[in-house]
Amino acid sequence: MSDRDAAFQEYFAARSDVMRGTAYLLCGDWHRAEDLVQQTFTKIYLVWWRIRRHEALDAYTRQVLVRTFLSERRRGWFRFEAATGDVADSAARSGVHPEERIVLMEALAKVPPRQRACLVLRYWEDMSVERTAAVLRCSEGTVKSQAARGLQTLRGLLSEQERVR
Amino acid sequence: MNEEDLRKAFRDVVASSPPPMDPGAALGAAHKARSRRRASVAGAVVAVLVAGIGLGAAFAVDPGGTRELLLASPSSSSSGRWPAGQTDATPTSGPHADRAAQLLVALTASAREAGFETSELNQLAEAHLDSSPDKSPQVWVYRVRVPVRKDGGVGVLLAEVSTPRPGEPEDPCVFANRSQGHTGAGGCKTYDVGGKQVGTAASTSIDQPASTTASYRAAGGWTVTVTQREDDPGSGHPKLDAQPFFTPALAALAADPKLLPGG
Repeated sequence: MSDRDAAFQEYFAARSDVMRGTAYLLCGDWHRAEDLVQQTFTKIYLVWWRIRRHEALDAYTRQVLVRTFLSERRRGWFRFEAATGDVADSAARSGVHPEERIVLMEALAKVPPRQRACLVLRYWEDMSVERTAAVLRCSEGTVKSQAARGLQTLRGLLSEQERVR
Repeated sequence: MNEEDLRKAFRDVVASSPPPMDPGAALGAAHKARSRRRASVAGAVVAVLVAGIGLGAAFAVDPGGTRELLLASPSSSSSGRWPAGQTDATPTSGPHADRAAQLLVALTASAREAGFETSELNQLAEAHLDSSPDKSPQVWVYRVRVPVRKDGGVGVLLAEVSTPRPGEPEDPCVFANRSQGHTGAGGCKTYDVGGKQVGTAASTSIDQPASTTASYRAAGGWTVTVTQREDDPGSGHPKLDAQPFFTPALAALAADPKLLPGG
């Protein structure tokens, strides 16, 4: 096995789980999340020699992941947002009732993709406004307004679902 | 829910993740991608070489010539090579990109004939290879997006045309339902448009903007799927008062020969 392959495998083993979590919050489906992670790491592999010395490999990988997700959303215009039942299939290790996770993911799936990306980057990845703006290639003002709007949308959807239940 | 609640909720959701992914499989997929890239680079070199000895004719402005090339490409593409003028699976130039551009022109014209305003803003036309470049026939998919405006509202028309895909069913309802995310029969209704069978399926979610899809499978296996939405998601514009077309008119649009090469 070449040095590049060994380093790539090591990096994948160490970081793919974290990236998959982010991907899942973005797309709401574990299978799609794994596809996104695979696509992302493949892109990273193809430019490995160019970036492997960079200290911020994680940040770059995350940027590729989010942009791949948004690009896929633009391309996949025929596939409408739909909440998935996959969440319920997963083992409940967190102590949180599975139904609560499904409700959150259903609501999150209804938040527009760029707003959702803002929420995930800001409140899951804990990225700064500046960094989020760089990843999403937009202004800092847009990040602030998208995050606020996304949170507001999510809040509205969750309270609506609470009323229905 | 405040920001802290959301952070906690995210942690809870991700905590229930499936087993880790296999690094070996990821490396295998990366190797395949690298091989494809190398093949495409080799294809580009071949294209440059042959351009000087006559295949440049494939780029003739004559639309008939382009049409012939497009119709022939799915079954005649040689294994592992891109068509002349193209170096990857999502071309921005070359015959397949041209085909996507033609589709955009045709859909835009249909929207205008129906009384809608269109603008180039947020329009999209793309072509991509939807099969392995090493397999024959190659399957190419052309997609276009045309926002349409009327009375201050904006909706969108989306068209997807695919070259024949081996093993695909002949029932147009399969394509219409698939586009709408329906499983099983999905409430698809079939229209007869001058002897052509067109499947139509509508969105069922009452809390989402309405959309309808019409799918037509042409002789030879080409498929056309046209979807209309009463809104243009993410644009910030108000939605239309209703979807752009009544369903029979949408079915007629999907069966319109203009959307296929040679139409």
